[in-house]
Amino acid sequence: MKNPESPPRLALRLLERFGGGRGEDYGTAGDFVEYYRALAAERGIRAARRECRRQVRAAFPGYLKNSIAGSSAMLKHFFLIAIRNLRKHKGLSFINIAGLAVGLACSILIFLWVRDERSIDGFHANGKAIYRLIQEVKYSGREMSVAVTQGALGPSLQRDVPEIVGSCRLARAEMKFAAGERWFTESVRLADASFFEMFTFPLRQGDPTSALVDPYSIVLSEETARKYFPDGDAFGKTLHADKNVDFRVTGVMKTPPRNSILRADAFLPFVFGRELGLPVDAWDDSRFTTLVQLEKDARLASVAAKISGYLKGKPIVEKDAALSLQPLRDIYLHPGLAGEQFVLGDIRAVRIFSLAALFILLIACANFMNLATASSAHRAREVGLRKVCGAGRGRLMGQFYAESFVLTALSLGAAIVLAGILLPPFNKIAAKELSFGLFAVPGNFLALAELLLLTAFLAGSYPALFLSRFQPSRVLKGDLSLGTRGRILRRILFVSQFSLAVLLLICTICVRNQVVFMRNFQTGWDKEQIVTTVMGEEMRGRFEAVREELLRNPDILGVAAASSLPTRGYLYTNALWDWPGKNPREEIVMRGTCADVGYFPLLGMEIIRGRDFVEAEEANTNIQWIINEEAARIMDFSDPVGQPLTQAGEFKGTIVGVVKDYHFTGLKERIDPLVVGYSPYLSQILFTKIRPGKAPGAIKALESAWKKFAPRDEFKYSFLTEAADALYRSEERIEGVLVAFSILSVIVACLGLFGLAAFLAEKRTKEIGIRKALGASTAKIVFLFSREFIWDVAAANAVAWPAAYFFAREWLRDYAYRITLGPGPFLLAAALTLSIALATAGHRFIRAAGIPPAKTLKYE
Amino acid sequence: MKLLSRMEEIILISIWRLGQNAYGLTIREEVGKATGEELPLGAVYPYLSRLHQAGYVRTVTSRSAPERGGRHKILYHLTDTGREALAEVQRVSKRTWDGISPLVFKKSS
Repeated sequence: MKNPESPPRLALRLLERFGGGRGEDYGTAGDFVEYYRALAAERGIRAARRECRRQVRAAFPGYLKNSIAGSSAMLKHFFLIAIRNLRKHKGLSFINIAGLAVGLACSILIFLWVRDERSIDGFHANGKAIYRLIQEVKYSGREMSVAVTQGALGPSLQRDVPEIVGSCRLARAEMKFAAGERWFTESVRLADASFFEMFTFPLRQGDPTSALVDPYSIVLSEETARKYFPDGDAFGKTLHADKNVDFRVTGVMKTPPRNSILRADAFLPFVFGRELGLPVDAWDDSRFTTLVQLEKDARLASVAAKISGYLKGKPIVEKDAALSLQPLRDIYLHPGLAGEQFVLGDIRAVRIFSLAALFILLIACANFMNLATASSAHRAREVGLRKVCGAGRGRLMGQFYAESFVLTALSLGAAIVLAGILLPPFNKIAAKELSFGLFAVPGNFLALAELLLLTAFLAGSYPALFLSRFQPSRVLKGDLSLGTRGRILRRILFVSQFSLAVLLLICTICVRNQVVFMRNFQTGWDKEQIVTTVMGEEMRGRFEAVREELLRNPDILGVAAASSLPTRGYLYTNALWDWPGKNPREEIVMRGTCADVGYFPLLGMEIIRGRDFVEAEEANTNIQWIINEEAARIMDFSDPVGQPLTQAGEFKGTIVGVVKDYHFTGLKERIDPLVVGYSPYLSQILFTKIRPGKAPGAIKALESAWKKFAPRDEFKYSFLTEAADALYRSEERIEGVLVAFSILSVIVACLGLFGLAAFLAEKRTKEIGIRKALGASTAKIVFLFSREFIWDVAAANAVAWPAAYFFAREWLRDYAYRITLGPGPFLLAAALTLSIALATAGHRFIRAAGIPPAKTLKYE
Repeated sequence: MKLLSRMEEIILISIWRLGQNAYGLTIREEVGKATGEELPLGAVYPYLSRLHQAGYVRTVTSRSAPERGGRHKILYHLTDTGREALAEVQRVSKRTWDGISPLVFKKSS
């Protein structure tokens, strides 16, 4: 279909039709073909086609202005007639406008949201040339993409691959800082000196090329700088950090844009990581994000081919690790990589919301078409007469398009108001800070105009084509048999409308069920009544005293510590584990974390074999390990307790217990094998179990302990339930928006149904009268008239079910633990739509059937 | 005489500069060079049509070329009216700018 020799057909035709003046040839089409061919030869056909479309799209507003200015008299007439027609059929117009307004408002909101999601990290000047390095590895036969890479990789790649002009490694660390008396904990980003050159985070003060060169330099955001140096200039001043290190402020960033995954309030040089004990230059440990910048005109495919096998022969621990490149802008919407270091969005939400908004818009457009064709009998004579008077088909189509345009424009006005009202609650569900200010951007305003034209075209096309085809000789004679063809189409439209609504409804019910399922899922540990706080070094050093102090308070039931939250998935270790009888060729994913005595009992995790940790000196030669059931299964001991286990060759120890499997990630992943090592030193998170209902007292006790043992530390606490709920936030967001959208879609579809029913009841008033006169009961008449609608809704359900089943199954596939797809949601959706449709249509028919026949038949 | 709009002026000058080779694409390129910002492809034609209707330019149809998919090329030339209009613009701008030294625009910081 596609001819590589010629530019996109639609673009060419638009350009030809509107590009030149009227009638005269300005060489437009030829120029366009020449432009396209030159571009295709230079950049390839696909890029050329895309560019051509973009160009025409950009030129379109100008054309529109031109062509409207050219034929204002006819247009004026079209619009006048359109407005008169709208006013004549007030009920129909209202239904159309309300439906379209809801559809458009949803589209506007989703458009704003998708724009925002897609704008993440789009502002970097070099953004298009920046990629993240991904490792593709195979573990236990599973292929995995790993977002973290070796510390030595970045600089080495930059040396060896000429196309790579810059590289930047990133890591995160929690550190405490003070300029005067007060200490604050900051989550800092460690980055190579190239950071401020590669990424567009402008510095207010300081030199972007050298700000992060000295290992004891720090770059702060404006706000953070003000926090530490409230009165005066931070630049060049000294900032103290824990561990007795002093940093010099070598740069102050302008407040970084919200829409970046890379943003942070403080940046430290990556090389400082050495002092934090990070394997900055190592090949045998993957835990950093590495971003590389390619040469401006480098070919991605050739670079990718060059680096794919780069890790072969390097002293890494992963076997067969291949490197690949992920564009910077793709990172945000493609979560799910192992070892992901950034807070990301969800591409599924983008797809689901866009589809849902499109569905509602389509339902609203179908309403318009339906009502327009249903009332075609009213318009047939008008069309006939216009044709007799010499109107061509094109003119008539213009007339109908103008009508649809006026209607859509009115709806768009209403939609903007509606969207403005809905924006705050929408922001709350979607956790965004969207505002209408976004429409001030010319591109977005243009998109709004395009939405208007597209909707007007979509809604107006069928009436325009259908109504303009009437033959004057037939319609003027009163032959309305043409209407029957319209009826079949009307039913098709009606069925597709309702099937879209049913589809949304079923998917919503499934998502909701899964969310409820996840919320009530037995994770194997107890999240209630637990407060978490992060301890500094001083507190960890005197943990025994802290524990005693806290337990003295009657509101505190128990205290324990571990190195990470049970929701965090734990540190993902590539390090090789070793135990007797291990198959040396098999590589195993095994997660690792550390805990102190009493951690498992406090969180209600059951030790099914062996015992908990006991207090002991920490040494690398005699570590106590506790493994989960899954790890025990993989290690395949008859009795794991008492068996030796070594991590990375140097951390030796004995397995002292087996803990019952519990979930430490969301339900998307199966439970991986887990090893927990005894290490009071690394257990920096304090878990405090409090007496139910006594939270304020317990927190006060915690705070006073903080003041006593670590007066310099900031006291920050959170509840474990919050962390557990955060795992499902994305799903809850999807659920919230879907619930709103499916309700709206049903409402919009029912608006159309209501209009149709009203129309039919009016048209068949006499029939109802005759039936009643002959003895039919009201119930019988209502049943007779509603039957067709009921059938259609049933058909819509039948159509929607397979599609809904497919969508729901695809969505659920991402979850290792999920609901089974039973008939429940399907039947519920059917029952809901049937009863709502029956109520909507039936209500109208009951009214029509209630009129005494004497009234309806008296003019006959 | 009615003064030209800025864009019309730039396009007329571009046509004049291009001499025998002024058609849609080259004009667009020339405008891009002058303003530093690329016009969308096709945005020149409405201007050209306006200029043509106003009689500032005339068109010459050159024979069709294979790289244009067999379509012919329309070349543009300035008419005398067009040349006059340009001269008028130049005169007016000279008069309005007269006596203002570029120094005035230096930032007073």
